[in-house]
Formats: sequence, structure tokens, C-alpha cells
Amino acid sequence: MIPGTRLTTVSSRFLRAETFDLMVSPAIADLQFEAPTASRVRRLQSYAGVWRACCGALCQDIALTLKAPFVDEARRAALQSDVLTFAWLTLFQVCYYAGMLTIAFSKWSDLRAWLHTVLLRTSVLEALMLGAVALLLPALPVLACFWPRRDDARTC
Amino acid sequence: MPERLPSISPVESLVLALIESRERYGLELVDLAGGRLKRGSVYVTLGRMEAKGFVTSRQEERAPGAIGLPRRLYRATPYGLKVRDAYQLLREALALKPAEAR
Repeated sequence: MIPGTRLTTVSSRFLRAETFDLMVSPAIADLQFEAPTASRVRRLQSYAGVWRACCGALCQDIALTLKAPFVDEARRAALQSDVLTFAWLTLFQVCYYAGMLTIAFSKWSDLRAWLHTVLLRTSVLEALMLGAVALLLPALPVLACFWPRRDDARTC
Repeated sequence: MPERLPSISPVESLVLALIESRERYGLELVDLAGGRLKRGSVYVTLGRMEAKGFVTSRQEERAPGAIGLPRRLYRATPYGLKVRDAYQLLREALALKPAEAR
């Protein structure tokens, strides 16, 4: 396999086409150009460079996405629609897991007692962290499957 | 609302200086900059500069059957050089001490 193939697949999935072409694709192209002759250290540096380029490109994309609703009415409406869809999909999964846990608790009283003990022992902050994890777990697959759409035109 | 003035950072000025006379690859810029440009940030910088209109780029022409992604060549635009020169003048003017300005 050519070096950087997986990186190309992943980053082109998550980045706007233009951002990928301008920021990440040249970094991967240079990595592939160097790969046959580069030492192991140099190759690792290249990979680190590509990852940094991906992070920079992602930050730029997020900034553009967040800025867009303030400059364009149509994008504001699109973002609202995206946020609602995202929230709905996440909530759907939270309900699913909550339902499964409820059934599990009703079946196994030991599990309920264990959780009760854990929650009583933890501080408020830790309980909040547990809650955040419970929300994040369903949110991550939704984020992976449903990435808010972006406009490829660079107008903002 | 008044249009925002273009801004240029020292790193962007350095990049423009390196691609002023000829087209170069991103990797070449890192090597030529002697540590002042990092491999990861150079492409983000070049991407932003292209969005601002300071540089222009094109994909290299490739031999048939070549594998991998095509590399990208960068060149400074006259607009980018003009902004850089204007900022250079501004920096020099702001660096003046009161006695020198008389």
C-alpha cells in the first residue's frame, strides 16, 4: 500500500474538498514522494507533519463552519437543521442505551446495587463526568456517521 | 461595514520571499527556511495564503502511470508581494525612534 492512503481516505472524509486539496493533499503528496528514499526518522517526521496539517485544516474548517451562519442566512438555516439532526440522532441513542440499562437494572439487582454504591461514593464532579461520558458515548458514533455538511464554495 | 485590510505575518513574509522568484514545493520551503518553517504548519500557512490571494499554486505535471497524489507547486502573486512590501514599509516606519523621525 502507498504510504498515506488511509490518511487520504480519512481526511478527505472529514474535510471540505477545497481544504483537503490545499492543505492536506500536498502534505501527503510530499510524504509519498519522499517515502522510497527517506529514513525511518524522516518518514516519522513526514507523518507527524501530515497529522499537523490535518489538525490545522480541521481547525480552519470548523472556524469557517462556525463563522458561516453570521455572514449568510442560508448557511444559518443549514446549520440549524444540522444541529437539530445531530441532537435528534444523539438523543435517539441516549434513549436506546437508557432503555437497555433500565432493563438490565430490573433484571439484575446486583448491578443496581453496585451502581448505587458507585454513585454514592463519587463526588458531584465525578458524577457529572460520568454523565458527560454517558452523553459522549452515543454522540461519538453519530459524529462519525453524520458530519455536519459543509459548503465547498469559499465565500466567507 | 468597511472592508478589512489585508494582514501578513512574518512567517507569510518569509514564505513569499522564498517563492518570489520561482515555483517551489512545500517541502523545499521547509528545507530552505532552515528551521523557521515546520513541516506540519507550512501547508496550513500556504493554504491560508492562497485563500488570501498571496500565493497561487498548481499541481505538478506527472508522468503517466505515476502513483500517489500529485505534488503542489507554489508561486507568489504580485498582490502578495505588494502587501508584503507595504507591511515592510509600515514596520520600518513604526520602528523609527522620535529623534529619527524629525
